[in-house]
Amino acid sequence: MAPYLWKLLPILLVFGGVLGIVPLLVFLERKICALIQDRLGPNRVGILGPDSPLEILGIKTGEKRFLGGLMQPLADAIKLIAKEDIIPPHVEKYLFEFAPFFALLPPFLAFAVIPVGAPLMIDGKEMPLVVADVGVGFLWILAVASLSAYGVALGGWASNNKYALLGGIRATAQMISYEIGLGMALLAVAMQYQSVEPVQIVKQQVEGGFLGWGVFHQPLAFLLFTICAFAENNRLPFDLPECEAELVGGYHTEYSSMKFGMFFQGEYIAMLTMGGLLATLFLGGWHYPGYAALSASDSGFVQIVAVVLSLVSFGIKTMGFVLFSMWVRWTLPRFRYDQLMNLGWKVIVPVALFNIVLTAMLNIH
Amino acid sequence: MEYSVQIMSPAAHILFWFVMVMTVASAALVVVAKKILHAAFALSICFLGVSGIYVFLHADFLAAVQLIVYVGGIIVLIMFAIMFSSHTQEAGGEGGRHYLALGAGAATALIVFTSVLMMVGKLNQPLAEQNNRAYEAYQHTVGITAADLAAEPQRLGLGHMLMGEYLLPFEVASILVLAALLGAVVIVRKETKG
Repeated sequence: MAPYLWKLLPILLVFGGVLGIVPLLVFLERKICALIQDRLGPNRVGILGPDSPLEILGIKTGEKRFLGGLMQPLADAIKLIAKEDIIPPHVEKYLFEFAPFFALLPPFLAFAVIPVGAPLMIDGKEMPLVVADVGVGFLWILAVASLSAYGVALGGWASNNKYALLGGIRATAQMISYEIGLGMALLAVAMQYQSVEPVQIVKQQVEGGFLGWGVFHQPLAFLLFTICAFAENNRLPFDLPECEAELVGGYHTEYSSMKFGMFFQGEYIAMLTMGGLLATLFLGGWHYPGYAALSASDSGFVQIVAVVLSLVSFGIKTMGFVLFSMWVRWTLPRFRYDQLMNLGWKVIVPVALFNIVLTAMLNIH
Repeated sequence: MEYSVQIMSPAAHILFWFVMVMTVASAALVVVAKKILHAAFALSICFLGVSGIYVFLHADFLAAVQLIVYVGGIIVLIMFAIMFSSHTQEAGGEGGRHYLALGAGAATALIVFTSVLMMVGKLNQPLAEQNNRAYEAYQHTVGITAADLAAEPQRLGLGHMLMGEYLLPFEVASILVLAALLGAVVIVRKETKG
């Protein structure tokens, strides 16, 4: 195969993988929520329709639904697409139509610089499994993530609805505040590895082995990053922009059909992106214990196994963050708005500054 | 200009013109938009285009910073402020367009445009040559090798320049920003007490 065709592989892997996982995440969220609240969750739409395969064959099993609920996201998707797309008469039409794209695109674009697997050897050259290995590294992620505030802010404003507007204002303030903490936490990481390129950062962690993982070198940055990632994604306990008890639906109150679906997807993709970034910077990226032994093998097959396992390892770490954030969402209560701002400016920013100074002092050669 | 156009692939060429048209069109929209939030949004698209121009000039770092600071920070703050203003008052009810302002704007644009044209006409050496000379100059001042530059031309060079040759202007600028920041706080404080 021509080399440029190989470049398509990470693109397909990343974007196909992310889009394919989102429906599964919706299902998982509902199941985990049900588990925590002692309910059943979606359990009707099975993998072969309503009945188990044995029931279709006429064998009575008592088990009515085979893998019940797993197809619920598909049903939801069909419902979202087929639903009437209402544009209320009082909205700002163009911005209203435009906002959902800004909610969906940035997290997708941010995923482009995250390496999802161990480098492949093609014609004697290493090809990292990353869509775009750009020189600016995770600055790209910060740049693109800052765009996602537009989706929420414009959506809230264009809806011309006071609940939506309040949601938009809250989201804008929250995202700006926590972006600063996020950027400062990442600055310490960049100082630690003396690089901003995710591919290089992962490489250094791989060379250090299990104890080379970023979380052991930058525990404070890891903690700060996790908190800020929750706030950036507007997830509970920081979901004030759409808090149902006060704001109906927040910024997406007026949205229906697939436009709402895009906000919804955007939120889950943003979770995946933050999880991927967390794994890349702090949990060794695609690295897993034993990679060094496997990749040193002469056999081409074993080497391919090593790469596949690295993909699995990255997936597990990313999903770990996503599952953690679902767990948190259904466990913790919501912050009050002033508490949110106090935490952002009076705790996270000073601690991040302290971390930067500490990192600088520890890394003087 | 010839230098940068020649090395672009046809796809990059199309993208280049797309970015240019987007930048100029949204800049025009900033001026003619009747609603202030539309103007702010158009300005953010314009800055997005400017960051695209930086990419075409191989200034990736600057492009990322442009996105983070202007598109993601300043315009969002502007929109934040606009969202607190009333929805109904903003439809430009202050008596239509001011022809004097329009004329002044057009005259300014003409002057800037002609001076840029004159400057471009005076550039009698190719861009590549100028770039090489600039690289050599700061290699000489900060003592980094060509290999370092080839590995990380953007950030390394920029960092060395900011922390070395241009340290004083850099610090002076930071003091200016700090003063503006404190000034804003002082002004706001006074209003809430009074």
